[in-house]
Amino acid sequence: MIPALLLIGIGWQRRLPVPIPLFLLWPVAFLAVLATGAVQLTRRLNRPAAETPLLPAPLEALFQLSGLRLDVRTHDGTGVLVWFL
Amino acid sequence: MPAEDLYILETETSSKEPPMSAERRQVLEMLAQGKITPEDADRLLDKLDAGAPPAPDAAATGLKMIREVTGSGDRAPANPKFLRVQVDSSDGDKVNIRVPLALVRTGVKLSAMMPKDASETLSEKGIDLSNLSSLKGEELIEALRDLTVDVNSSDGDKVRIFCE
Repeated sequence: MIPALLLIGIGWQRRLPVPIPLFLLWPVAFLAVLATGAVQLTRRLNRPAAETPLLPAPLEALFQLSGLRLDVRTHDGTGVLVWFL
Repeated sequence: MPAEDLYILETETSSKEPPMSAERRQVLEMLAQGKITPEDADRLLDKLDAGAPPAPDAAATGLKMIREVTGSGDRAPANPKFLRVQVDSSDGDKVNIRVPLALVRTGVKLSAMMPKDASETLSEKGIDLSNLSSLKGEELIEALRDLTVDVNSSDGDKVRIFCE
């Protein structure tokens, strides 16, 4: 699932994780997928033998980021939180 | 008690006694299919004989009891979604990482895009990632499903890797 929000918290006690609205980038991602799909489809039509995936791996990875969480807390109270929601 | 004996015993007694309960039938079926050991079945049947009150959903009760006896409730779920990595160091640092398995699957494809230098360096160290890209996604998930790594070092560090 494509992530809608990215929470980033860095520093002491990570008191205020900053939400970054990734859903605002959804139209851009949609256009990127359309453009990439069109290019790959053209490649397939021109070279039928070539096995090119419709969605390249990096773009596919972008869609699978939802749920990824990295939570680090050090003993002195600082830490890092990166959470794709 | 051997599985065959249990089954025979059950079919013999069932002709004299009231019809076999759903839980009892389920236990015997699982025993016949080899999903539980005869010892587990023995214990389950003993529990049933001890007179557990009949539940409205007999199948659910039977399954719950089977999980209790076999301990299968602690196993990884049938369809794990995340790979969890937990590190508790002795000096108080904690790392908690949750990676979607779908991302792991895609990451395997990305390994094919690794720079040539990096691949060569890895192969010099004896690590060959070339076969990873030929691995099908479902095979990887299947392999990861039962993965559990528990490391407890002598100085108190704990590392736990599992799927959930």
